[in-house]
Formats: sequence, structure tokens, C-alpha cells
Amino acid sequence: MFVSFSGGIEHWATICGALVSPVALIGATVADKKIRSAIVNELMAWYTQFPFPEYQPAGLNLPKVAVGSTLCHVSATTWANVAKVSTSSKAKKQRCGGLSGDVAKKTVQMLNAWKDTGTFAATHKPNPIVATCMDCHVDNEPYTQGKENCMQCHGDKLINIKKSEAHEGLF
Amino acid sequence: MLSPCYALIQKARCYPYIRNAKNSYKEIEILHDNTEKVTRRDFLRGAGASAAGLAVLGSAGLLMKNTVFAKQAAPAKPAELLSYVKLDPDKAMETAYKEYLKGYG
Repeated sequence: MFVSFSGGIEHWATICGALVSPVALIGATVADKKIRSAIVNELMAWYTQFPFPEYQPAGLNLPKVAVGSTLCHVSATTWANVAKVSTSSKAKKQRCGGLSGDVAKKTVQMLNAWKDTGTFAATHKPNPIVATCMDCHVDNEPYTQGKENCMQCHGDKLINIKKSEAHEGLF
Repeated sequence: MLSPCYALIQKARCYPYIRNAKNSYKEIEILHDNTEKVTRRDFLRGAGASAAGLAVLGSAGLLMKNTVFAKQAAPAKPAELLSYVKLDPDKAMETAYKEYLKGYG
């Protein structure tokens, strides 16, 4: 059922595949809409801030990086460039394996906490810039929506490939 | 054989078919027949083959084992769609990691 979510859906690098089945499982077990929403939002926000991978059973001492996004493209790209390894490397596969373990652990911890108490209190929130941006751009042009950090793609770190000398003549 | 997960999806689709009564009795029977043949072992095997992310599978397999089938006979509590039995977070983490490295990532 979840195989094609690998690599952010068949390596289209959209949503991180490690998040998909946890969200499905939360949805399959938590009936209360507010609690379910709180748990899923906690998982998403936590993912953006957690320095993956904590779980490293292979002992490679991989760098732990908080990637700031739930998108596979941003997550894998950010980590690989910090680690200075190819996204097709064994190190990167170990990173995503460890990340999958970390996400599974977090999911079970949240569901266990909910099971114990019947409720759930989130401790992580989206980047504050999101509220600032959405205050205007939900109802004003250019319209948008989302909870990812807007500045990752729309800030001063945006790379314009067309202006790269290395890509001159490609477009 | 049909994927167990696909069969479950089909099962869910049975209800609108029946409700609308637009489909033949035979077609409805086929849909039901496909779902009823899914055993617990089939489902877990299918989940194992599909867990991409979560540990995806890790958690998926563990959770489903303790919810969909193991607790199916017991009435679900009002606050739960499927009854959830607490899991070992470290075991889920280990399982998810191993499943990812099996090649699903």
C-alpha cells in the first residue's frame, strides 16, 4: 500500500515517505478530529525540527540535520549537501532508514501517550514565519496555503538556475 | 492473488455499490468474495511488501497487527476507529529501519 511513497512518491520527492503511513495509521486509530489533527500536526512540525537521523545502528556517525521541511526534496537535498554525499549513496540510504525509524518511534510515542491519557498536547509548531505570510496571502494575491517554512523557497537562499554560469546555455 | 490492501479498499467500495443498487448481484458477490479471502497472514505479508516510509512499515505492520485483525472481534471504543494497543517505540523504530533497508526506500 505504501511502497510507492518511497522517495516522496516514486522519487518525485514530494512528501517524505516516512510520514505517510504514520499519518494513515493515526487516521485509522484516532477518531476524535481535534486530537487526530493535533497528533498529525505535531508529527509534521516535529519532523521539520528534529535533527535526523538519531537512530544510527550502522555506526556511520552521520551528521544530524534539522531540515526544516517535510518535503522529501528539501529533506534529502539539505541533508546530502551538509553531509557532502550523493543522494544515491549508502550513507544517504542509512540516513533515510534511520529517519524512518525515528519517525516510527515518534509516532508510537504519540499514540501511546494518547492511549494513556485520552488526549494529546502538541509541543511543536510550524515556523512562525508561516503565520506572518498567511495573514496576507490566504486572501490576497498572490494566493497560497501551507504550513511549510515559506522562506526556504521564497527567501534569499533561492537558487536561480538560469543565472548559474555552470548552466549557461542549458535553458 | 489480489494484494490484501487492495482487497480492503475494494471492501470499502462495496458499500456504495450495494447502496446504489446499480450493480448486479454477481458483481457485488465478486467484490465480497475477493475481500473475504484475505487472511491475517495475507494482510501482514502485503503490508510488509508495501511499507515504504514508516517505518513505515514497521509501525504499519505492528499497528495493523494489533488493530485491524487482532482486535477486530472486540468492539472499538468510541474514541477509536480501530482499537489501538500500545506498542514498544524502540521496537517500532528498529522494525521501520530494517524494512526501509530491505529496499523499499
